[in-house]
Amino acid sequence: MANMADQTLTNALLQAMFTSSTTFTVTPGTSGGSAFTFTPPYKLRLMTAQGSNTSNGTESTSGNCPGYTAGGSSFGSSAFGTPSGGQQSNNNAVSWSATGSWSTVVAIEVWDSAGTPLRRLQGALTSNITGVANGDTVQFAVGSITINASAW
Amino acid sequence: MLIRCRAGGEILDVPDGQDPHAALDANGCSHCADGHPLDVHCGAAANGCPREHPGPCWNGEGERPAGCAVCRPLLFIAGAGIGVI
Repeated sequence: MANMADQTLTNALLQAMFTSSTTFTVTPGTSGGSAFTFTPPYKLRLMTAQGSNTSNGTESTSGNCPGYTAGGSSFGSSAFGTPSGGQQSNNNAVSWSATGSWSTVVAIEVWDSAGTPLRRLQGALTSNITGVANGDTVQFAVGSITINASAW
Repeated sequence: MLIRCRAGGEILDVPDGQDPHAALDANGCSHCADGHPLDVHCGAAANGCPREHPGPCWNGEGERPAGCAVCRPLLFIAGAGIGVI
């Protein structure tokens, strides 16, 4: 069933999940499944191989992408902006300063800050990041990462 | 892939498979809206390169020398569309 959710609901869910700056738990009613918790701030991780919606990608490391630290970098408080049309984009820039040559980066993932971090989003880059050398900066500008749930 | 010379200049779109550093021409910042000449800031910075090759490293150098942190550093501008898992 395509486009099954009312978009007002979709926007509300997105905003709760990715705009909230504080931890909260969703506790479903009877037969609604187990409670689950969202733990911002969210972190942006870079991938040298994309995963899927069910398996993690291969994260960049400080070895193959000098200047990058495994576990990613924070999106800051209130990671994504107010949704519109079932979509929202990042509120803050995230960047890294390369201290050596990088392997190609093909995808990103967004993880939360739980004690054991949970992966919440994944997707491919618009264009692979290739040829990064010592002294370069890799930057995701404000608004450059879009969550698209318009098909919910 | 979108890049920009960190010394200034507008954004360039580099085709896949092309060395992003080689995408900058001899001026390095010829696309810069400021229109300043080579030796204003790009050349001055390049002359500090520890490799001590003559002039800015894009002069006579097919590729940026390994380890050079002075010459034409680039800003890679990335973007992505992602889905809720």
